[in-house]
Amino acid sequence: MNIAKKIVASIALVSLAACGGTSKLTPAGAPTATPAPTPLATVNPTTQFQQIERLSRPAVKEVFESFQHHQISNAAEPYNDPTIKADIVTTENAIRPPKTSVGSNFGNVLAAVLYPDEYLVNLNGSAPSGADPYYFLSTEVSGGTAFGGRAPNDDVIALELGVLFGGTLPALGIQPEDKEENNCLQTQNIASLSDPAKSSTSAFPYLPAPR
Amino acid sequence: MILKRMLGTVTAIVAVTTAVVLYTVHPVKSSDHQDTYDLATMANGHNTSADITDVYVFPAPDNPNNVVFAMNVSPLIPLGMGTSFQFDPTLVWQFKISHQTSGIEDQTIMMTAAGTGPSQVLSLYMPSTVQVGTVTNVTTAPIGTTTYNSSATLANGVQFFAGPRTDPFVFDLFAFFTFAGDRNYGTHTSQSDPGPAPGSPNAPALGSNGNSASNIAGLTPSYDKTPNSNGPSFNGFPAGTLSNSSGGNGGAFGAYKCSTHPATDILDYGKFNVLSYVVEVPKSLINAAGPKIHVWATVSSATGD
Repeated sequence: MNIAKKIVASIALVSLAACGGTSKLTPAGAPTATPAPTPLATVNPTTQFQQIERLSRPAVKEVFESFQHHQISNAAEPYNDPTIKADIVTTENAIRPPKTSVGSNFGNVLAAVLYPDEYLVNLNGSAPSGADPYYFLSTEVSGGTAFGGRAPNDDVIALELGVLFGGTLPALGIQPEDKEENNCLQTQNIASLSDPAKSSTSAFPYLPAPR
Repeated sequence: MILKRMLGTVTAIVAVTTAVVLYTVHPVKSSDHQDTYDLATMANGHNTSADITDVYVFPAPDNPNNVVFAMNVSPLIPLGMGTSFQFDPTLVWQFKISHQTSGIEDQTIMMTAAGTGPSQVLSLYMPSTVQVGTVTNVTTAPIGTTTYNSSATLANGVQFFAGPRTDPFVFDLFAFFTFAGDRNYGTHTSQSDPGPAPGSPNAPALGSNGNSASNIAGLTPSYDKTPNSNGPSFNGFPAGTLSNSSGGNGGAFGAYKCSTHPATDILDYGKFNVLSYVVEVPKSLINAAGPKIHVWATVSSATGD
């Protein structure tokens, strides 16, 4: 069934290309600015919409939650998520067990920082600079003085791998040095901008043009 | 003209071939691409714009008085086909905002789509009353609209864009799957399928039937595991690099050689696009209750699946 669906999806893609070719595609580039159309009353106000997907910090669900738990988190408020907090502790402790000899417990610390799974933003906060050039997690590690959130080209995977498998938390003084860093996992060896075409722009809408 | 058509055909074939390979051989996700079985296979009846890949919140680069909220959906749109994909008109997308330490939402920015083709109209709402929780009604008029792949300036200086963009995310996904194969939807036959059982040949390191580090044996390696067959690794390390080369223990997985296979950003390899909602808002419309906010994004459907 799974394979059949993938084949159908592939056929659909082939058909799409065959019908449209490339001649109907808009060239990649800046979007056109047009006058705002007249607002449309398109949604019945009595229709109830139920949440089916939820996301904030990148890769938190992917790393910490089993695949089956993703759907549970997607249908819940981040502050009422029934699975993710325990999953953060369980997964991190499986990777990096608490070490009583030095007093480390990465699982508990990460659960405290990452739950609820919501970006923390200080609208009046400072921009990142120097050794930490990214917005992602900057509010959390600065005690709320940095802007936080996430910019399009933040190397979020590098940051997260450093926290989970590397020496980021000991370097920040958030956890003691436990000598349990794993060099094979604390970096993915890809530059944050592996292709300049993926770089954000300085003008709205800031995200790079389609390719 | 004939040459242009030939080049166009070749481009389309390359794009489609890449997509076919990735859809059929290497199911892909990264930050949150193809998050569940239903979202990945469209088994829930929606198109891929129900699947959020990434969320961004950052100050506007060209105006320090504004903040930008961006949400990418519809992962893995092939090269050259960005404008062939539109937003699902049966869904509601939201940026949810909290000014409280509890993290409970007290402000929201909503988007809906009308129509199905490239003339699709996207509406933006900033309701004064917020529905807390996972059920949403759209009870107010939009503050304005834009057309697909266009930007518009709406009331109060709000800017709104909806359309295709390059996926800026960077990830060696296949290396991740070698030790976290449970996260690959292709290892499941449905959302309720737990995937490979612990100890089975395809059991991944990070989770099947729960998260267990004991399940790391048996996954087909794409790297040199000679010193330790249980050693998960990203790619691209100099020969001889050890998991514990800093003098430590290597964590729960112990000491072994790291992979020397080339690292690959799969989203760049495929030149993939996404659909993006980008909303630039004056901070004054957000920080009336204080400058410190919590932010997340949701997608909702009338059927709840």
